[in-house]
Amino acid sequence: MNRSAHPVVRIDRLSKIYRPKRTLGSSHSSHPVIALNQVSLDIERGEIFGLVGGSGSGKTTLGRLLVKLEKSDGGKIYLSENDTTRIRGQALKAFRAKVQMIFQDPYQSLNPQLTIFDTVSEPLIIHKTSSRSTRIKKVRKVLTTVGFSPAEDYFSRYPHELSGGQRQRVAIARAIVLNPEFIVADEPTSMLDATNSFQIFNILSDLRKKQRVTFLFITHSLAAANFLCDRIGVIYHGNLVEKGPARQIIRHPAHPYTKALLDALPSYCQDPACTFHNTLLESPRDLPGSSHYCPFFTLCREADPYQCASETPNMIHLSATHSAACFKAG
Amino acid sequence: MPVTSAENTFSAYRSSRFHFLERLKSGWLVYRENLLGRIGLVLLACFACMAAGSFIPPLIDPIYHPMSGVDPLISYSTGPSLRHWLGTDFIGRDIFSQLLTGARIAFIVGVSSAFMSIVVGTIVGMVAGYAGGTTDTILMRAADVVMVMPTLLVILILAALFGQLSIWIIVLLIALFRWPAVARVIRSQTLSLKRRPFVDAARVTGASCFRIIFRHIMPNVLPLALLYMTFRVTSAILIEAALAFLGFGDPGTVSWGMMLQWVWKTGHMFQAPYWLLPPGICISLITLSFYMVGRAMDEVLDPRLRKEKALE
Repeated sequence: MNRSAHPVVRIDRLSKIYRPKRTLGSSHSSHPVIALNQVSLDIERGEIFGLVGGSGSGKTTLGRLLVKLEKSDGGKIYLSENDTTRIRGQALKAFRAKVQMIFQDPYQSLNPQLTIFDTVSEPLIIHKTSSRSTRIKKVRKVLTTVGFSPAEDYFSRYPHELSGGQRQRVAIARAIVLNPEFIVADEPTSMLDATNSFQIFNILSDLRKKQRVTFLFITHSLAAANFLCDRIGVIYHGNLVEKGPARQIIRHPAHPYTKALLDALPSYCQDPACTFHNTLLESPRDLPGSSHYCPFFTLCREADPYQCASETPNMIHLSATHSAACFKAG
Repeated sequence: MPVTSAENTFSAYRSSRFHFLERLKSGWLVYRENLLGRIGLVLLACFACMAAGSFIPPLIDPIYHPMSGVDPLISYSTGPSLRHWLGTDFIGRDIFSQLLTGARIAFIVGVSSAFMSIVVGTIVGMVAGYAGGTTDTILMRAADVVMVMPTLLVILILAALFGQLSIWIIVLLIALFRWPAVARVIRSQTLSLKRRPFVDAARVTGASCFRIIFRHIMPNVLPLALLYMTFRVTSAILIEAALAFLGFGDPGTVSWGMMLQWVWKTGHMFQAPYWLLPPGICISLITLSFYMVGRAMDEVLDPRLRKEKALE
């Protein structure tokens, strides 16, 4: 296949299952939830990989697994070909310096009691990389990179004195101050308005161009992914259903779920020439009785009642870079 | 020189941290609206003046020393006079100067034991809440065990076993018995804080548990801990007064409870209201004022408690 020899991040059949906690007095136990089901991905150096999916599809879980905020229940994560699935101690600390995360809600992800300078310089203090005066220089540099000028004016501000967009830029500054190789951006613009979002997109793509930072960009919007990302992966209920170059996926979606996401974008349907895929069932059908079935079976209009209800589709390669997990994709 | 300019920026940054003052100011604006809080503050200021003024009488004349000052002319309890504003006790010591010293002792006992129980309670609560699991279970069961012990009874038994306890031992014992309630409150607050994304963000940057607890969680629970401190002060003063009244106080210090004990022991309970009433009223008022200040602070910290202002 057309894989580069050394992807920055390689995920191999990663799974995560949330099991209900057994508490005293609750006789009736709920079922475990499969948040991620054997997801495999390669993310290459210097690219922005977009992970698209609806609410509860497991995209945030994947991000949290990648930055080791949660433990996986199966599969492996490789960073620059080193297995980092079960690292701890000093190795984990070294890993933390290389992999960073930008969180969804800028109103919650900054400590309200710390100044901007304290927040942004904290990673430098933790990793003991520099003296105090170089720390000040570095903080000034990253704050300028994310568009604060003059940066000094913001040193002693507190998060509540900043707008949402400014806070998110501070969060980006904190993530890049250690020069990480890989950043997980978990819906960084979902709480912001359009102009602020656009500014954040520009900062991210500048970082990719100038500092060769690799991003996993998690979003629910195919439009944002199309604008920013080189490649896109579509995830549905913990299953990666389609992946490929962004342009290819937007122009020629192969999986019915991707088509449904495209249908959901209002701008794509104002043009009368625009094709409306119409792949969603109006009322979901019942789960098939068998233990193997396509995860999208219950909502898919195009599903084959025999094949899709009795087999789990594997990734089918449509081209060298584009693949989808649908029997009808070929 | 880039380095010096960076240093200058940094010092400018340090000196321009008015955030804390600003928050204090906005908190004060809310506090000021509360009548109980204002009354409590005024009362506390009076008691603070009393405590500060307690050093003055012995300087004027040694006969006004609260413990060893004996008036050569009087060797029995007398009522208020110009020479002794509140009268004298059974060996002719000045009651007014005893009352002033009592205020000082009440502040020392109340604030220091409250401070100690807050420190222990906050640390235990934060560690239990953040660590969770077995650590949480062990610490909270220990807190439960201490919490169900009747403080006064246990200290009485200890006093009976080991003889007279000094005032600092009493302070320590009160602190030791009063931390669990603080620990519970701080733990619940920590449980909600540790799920907040900024704690996740700190973990992603590689912060240790120690750093997360003391740098990220502690500043956010500290206002609550301070609030609880005012309530602990009240209970500490009451426990000390009760102990002293029952005869298990420190015989070397003049506290209000001690004064009440002398009234009672020497049979002046119903003969000398000028001796009985001042310490009794003072104990009630100081606990009341700390309580009122606490309630008003509660309103500052918890906006849900604030009264709606009538719209114009």
